[in-house]
Amino acid sequence: MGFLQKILRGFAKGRRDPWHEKYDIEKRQEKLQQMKLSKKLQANIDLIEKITGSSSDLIIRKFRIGATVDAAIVCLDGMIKEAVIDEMLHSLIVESIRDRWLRKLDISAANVLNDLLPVHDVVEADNLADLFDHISIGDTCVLIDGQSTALLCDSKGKTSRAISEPATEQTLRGPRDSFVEDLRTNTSLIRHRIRVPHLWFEEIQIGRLTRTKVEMVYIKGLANEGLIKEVRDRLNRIDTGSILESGFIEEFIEDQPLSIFPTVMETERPDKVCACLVEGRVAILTQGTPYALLVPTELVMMLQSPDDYYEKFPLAAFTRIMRIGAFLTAMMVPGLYVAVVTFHPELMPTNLLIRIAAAREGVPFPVLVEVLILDGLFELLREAGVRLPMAIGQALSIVGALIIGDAAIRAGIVAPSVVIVIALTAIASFVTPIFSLGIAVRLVRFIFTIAGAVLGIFGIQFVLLLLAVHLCSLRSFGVPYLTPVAPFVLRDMKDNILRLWHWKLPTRPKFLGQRDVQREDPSYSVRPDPSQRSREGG
Amino acid sequence: MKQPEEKINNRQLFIILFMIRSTVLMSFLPVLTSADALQDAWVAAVISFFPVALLLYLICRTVQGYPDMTAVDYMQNLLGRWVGKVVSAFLIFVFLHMAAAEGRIYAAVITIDFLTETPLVFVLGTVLVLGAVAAHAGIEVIGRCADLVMPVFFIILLGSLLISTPLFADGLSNLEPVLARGFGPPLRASVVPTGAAARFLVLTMLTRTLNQPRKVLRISMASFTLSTIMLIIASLVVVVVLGPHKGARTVFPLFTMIRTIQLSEFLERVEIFAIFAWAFGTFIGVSVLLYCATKGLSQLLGLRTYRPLIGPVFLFVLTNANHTWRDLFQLRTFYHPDLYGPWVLLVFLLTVGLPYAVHVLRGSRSDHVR
Amino acid sequence: MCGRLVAAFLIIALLMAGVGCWDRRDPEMRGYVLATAFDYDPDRELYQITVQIAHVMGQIEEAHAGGNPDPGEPRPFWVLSAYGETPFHAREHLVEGTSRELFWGHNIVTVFSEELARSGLRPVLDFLERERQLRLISRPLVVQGDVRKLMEAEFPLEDTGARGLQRQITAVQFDANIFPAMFLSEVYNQLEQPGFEILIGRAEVLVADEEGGSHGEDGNDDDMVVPPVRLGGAAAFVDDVFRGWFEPDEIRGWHLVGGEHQSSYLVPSPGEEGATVGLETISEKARMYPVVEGDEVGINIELKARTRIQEYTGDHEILRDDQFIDSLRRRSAEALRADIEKTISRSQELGSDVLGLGNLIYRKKPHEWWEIEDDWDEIFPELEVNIDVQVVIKRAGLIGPPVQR
Repeated sequence: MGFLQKILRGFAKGRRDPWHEKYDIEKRQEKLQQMKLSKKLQANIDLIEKITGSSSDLIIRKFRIGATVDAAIVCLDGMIKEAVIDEMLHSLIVESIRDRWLRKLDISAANVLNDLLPVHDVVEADNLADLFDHISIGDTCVLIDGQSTALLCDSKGKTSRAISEPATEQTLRGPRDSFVEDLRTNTSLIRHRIRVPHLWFEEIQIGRLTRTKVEMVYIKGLANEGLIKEVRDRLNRIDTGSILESGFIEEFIEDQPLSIFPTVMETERPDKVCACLVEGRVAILTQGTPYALLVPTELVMMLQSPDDYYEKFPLAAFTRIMRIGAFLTAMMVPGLYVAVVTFHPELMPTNLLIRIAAAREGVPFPVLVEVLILDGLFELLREAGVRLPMAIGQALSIVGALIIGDAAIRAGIVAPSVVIVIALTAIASFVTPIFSLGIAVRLVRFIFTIAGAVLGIFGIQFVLLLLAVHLCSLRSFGVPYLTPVAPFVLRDMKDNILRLWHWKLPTRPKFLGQRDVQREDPSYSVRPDPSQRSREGG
Repeated sequence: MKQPEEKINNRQLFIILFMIRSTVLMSFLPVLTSADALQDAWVAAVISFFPVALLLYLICRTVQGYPDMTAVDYMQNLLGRWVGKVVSAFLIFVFLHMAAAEGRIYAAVITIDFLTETPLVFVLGTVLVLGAVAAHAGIEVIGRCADLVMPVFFIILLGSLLISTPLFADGLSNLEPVLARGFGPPLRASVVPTGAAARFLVLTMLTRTLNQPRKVLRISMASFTLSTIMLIIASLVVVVVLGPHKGARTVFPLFTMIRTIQLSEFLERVEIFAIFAWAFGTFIGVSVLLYCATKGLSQLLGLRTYRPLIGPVFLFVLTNANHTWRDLFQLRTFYHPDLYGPWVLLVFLLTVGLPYAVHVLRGSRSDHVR
Repeated sequence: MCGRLVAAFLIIALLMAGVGCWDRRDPEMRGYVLATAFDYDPDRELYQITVQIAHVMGQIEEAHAGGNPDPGEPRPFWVLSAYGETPFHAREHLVEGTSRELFWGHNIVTVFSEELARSGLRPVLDFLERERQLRLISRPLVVQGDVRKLMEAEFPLEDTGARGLQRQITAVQFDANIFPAMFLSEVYNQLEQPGFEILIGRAEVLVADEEGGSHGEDGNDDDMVVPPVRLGGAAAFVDDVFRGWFEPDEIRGWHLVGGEHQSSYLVPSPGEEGATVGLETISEKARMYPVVEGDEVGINIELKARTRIQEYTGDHEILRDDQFIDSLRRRSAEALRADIEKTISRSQELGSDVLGLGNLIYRKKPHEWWEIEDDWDEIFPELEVNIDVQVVIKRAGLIGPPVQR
């Protein structure tokens, strides 16, 4: 076997590359870190070309600083803003001559950095790993002959799409900007809203191949130190090849990876992120995806929508309660229907029961199978609607729902009552604002339906209690998942289940353990000052 | 790595004790109305308040002296190593027996009244599996589940009692003649609810998990008072609605009473919700009992953690519940004052009276020394 | 390991769902019993059970026809009977005739025939109580007439006979006090209490004869529109055996004493010939208590009623005349008193203590009751009952004197 390999290697001489063959992917990053730049410009350029294989988008432009010293810039085409580089080159090539004459400038890396580089952000690097990290994001590397330090200048071109409306979390009222794929744009959206200097961004690079930039965002002094440390530790512990989306990170850092319930919330709305930061939570932004992660997360938080905070209290409270009801409905209604109709017909009013029985005459399947068929059909329609292009997608889902449902009834495959039940469930399941929770709900609904068919209402109750035990045992970064319902924190109820007026919410959530519990002056009252009134009264 | 000790707070303890005690309502009500007490069933409930209050006092006083120990520890402390171990083992057996009984009664109701063709062991299995899963998850999880489940439990219970008030067609005449046969019958009838207070022995194992062990007495008395009030109200309502004789004849009067509620043409036969509430109470009761039993067992056996024991304990309780009582008649015989009284007396003397006596003697001796 | 667990769980779950768990019944596999009737044949000593089953296909026909069933279309219910040595056996035999599993959870009306009542209700009552599916919120009735006809009767305003009977009971209860409407559970309650006898409402089956009129079983001819069933009066029992009928006007007193509302009656107008005043009681409060003097036991009944003038055929200025009102009050008190006395005398005549006077003594004075309990059968017919009625006339309606030329 080894002999064969040697022969094959002999034939593939052209593309043979000892460095890439010798080291696995995992080892290369370490190796890159160990490879230091040499003082010779050409050696550095050769090294760079060898590692990158002279990729077609790699630009290496040699020039002379002050007409004496050889130098080169290395950058990646397509990631840079050409104007910055031109400006930089102008200064390095043209201005440097004048400076050299006028001030007898010595061409060293430090002098070049201080006097000749009109770029707003420059970093020094001496090993290849850092060099490639920066080049790959759009920076330009300036190599000077005789210096073993490279200067990395910020020349990033913005290549992301424009800020637009959030695709998944729409609201009636409130800001309509959402995050984009570019990290820096996202951080600027947050900075716009929280302007104190204690808003800290900590950068980490994760992923051996993708070297994705991930930023931890928190308000120093407000968020719990232990929480910050825990998030940092978990992020640093991630050891994987690629991070393409925040969902990858989510799975690595969550407390209970085996649970279907999400303990980390994702959102693409900056106002949500800011509201959470202000409560003392930590946000995680990822380069390449508009979805930010928020920790720690509670179940109740996932049932809230930003609309609740922008509308007035009675409407907000009512909508919130309705949303909780819809959440429960989406989980349990098909199961309850199966249970009541097959095990406990005495619970239903007589007339309704007889009509249901009448409608089921001639339907070949048991009730459970009917419900499962329709449920599955609906899930198919939903998934199909997502994949299809916009125009067809909408038409198909409406047409699909109406006509297929009707045809199924006429064909005698299902009974009309089941269609109503499934329709109700479907509508209720759209009310959940967070998508990952919606997935959990769908799976749990399936379990409830089967349980209802096995033991009737006792089956439902069994699964309900199992679910309760599971949810009660979940923790998200130290905070119990069902706070503030269980453990019951009366103080937090004002915000979580209802949503009292903004001027009546003086405290921050209890379990986030932060220092400043009072949001505002508790004696604050909304009524106008009595002195004002008398003034107006004349 | 030693796990930090799990804690439950005062309110959760209150809820747990309340639910453990209130399931007595559902299961043991018939014994109140039988044994000749008839319309004085509520008097029996009132009478049972006092001995149980005394029992709680004894338990709490003992337990407050050793806030960082569980029953297994302080039994050995107080009674010597071997006697302590034997008494703790007995206590653990009592816990398991109670868990089995609780599951059995609930499963009996379901298989008799609702799912007649489902095998008993299957229904038992579901109830006990729930308890085992929760016990495995830990007392903190049980505490949170109690928080979660309590509003539903309480509202359904209270609601069922309130809804029956329109059925008071004859006013409270069914309650008369009050105490016509004297105090004898209610006294006899109060033996069983008093005995059912053996569930409060879980306090002995739970002290270490409390946030504020000093407040144990206050919390348990408050919880017990509330549940006794519910018991009194429930006995009153059952007697008024069903009549004393029928109340004595039915096996589970509370459910039969709820069956007779008809709110309107479409809301009838709502006792399934009361069963729901009872299931929640049973769940909390069984989980706490299983948790305490496995914790104690692990301590007796010198294990570091109790979690591996849950499996075997669950099987033990399942077979126990299935085979100890052959049918409902044996169950009723077991809970008759003639049989239940002496058994419960033995349990209390051994597990409460003895440690408390030794504790007091020791305390007085050390007082003299100082 | 985890994967295996999941697989095991899925297999078990799907198996169960497919095979069907033990108690699962799809709704179209059950026959829903809406009304049950029990009869007894003394010659053959056989119990007969008759059930009214909802006919689901009939519902579909009805729905498609827009809710108006043609006479030729199948009715929405079906009646089936069976015989047996005991009620339970009879129920078992029912299965032989039907293609579905009978479900009693929606039984609304329970009917006893006169024959059964005469032979004793106990066996049937025990069966009803033990049966798990039957709820005790069904309405009991004793039928004077043919049980089968009652079950098959078609009620013009309702879809099924059972619903018709149930609603008729409710209607009668609200509008006229000639029928004791109760639930089956109350029957048990009264039966068990010492000193109480049960009273179950009567349903008369009306038969249309050839000329288009109708008559009851006792042969009254009526030219009016025929309801299938007439509710009024009740059957009185001693223990569980039927003793006799209470006519509708004898039930009024029962309602009055029980504190039920709204009875109406005519009182001759004081000081005028031939004119009557129609009064309706709005609310009443009745108090009964036993009086013991030495060995003698008596009952006092006090009734306070508030009434309203509903009709006046005279031409007096009723609103302005205090004396008239006083006199009217006395007469109405007299009328109420007469009603109660009628009830008591009839119950004493039958020896059936339907008002629960014995129970009253038991409740208020248990020790005396225990002494006279055994002789109650002899004491009751001679029991002295003092009735005191006070009437307050609250309102006279919207007009004062009646329309006059």
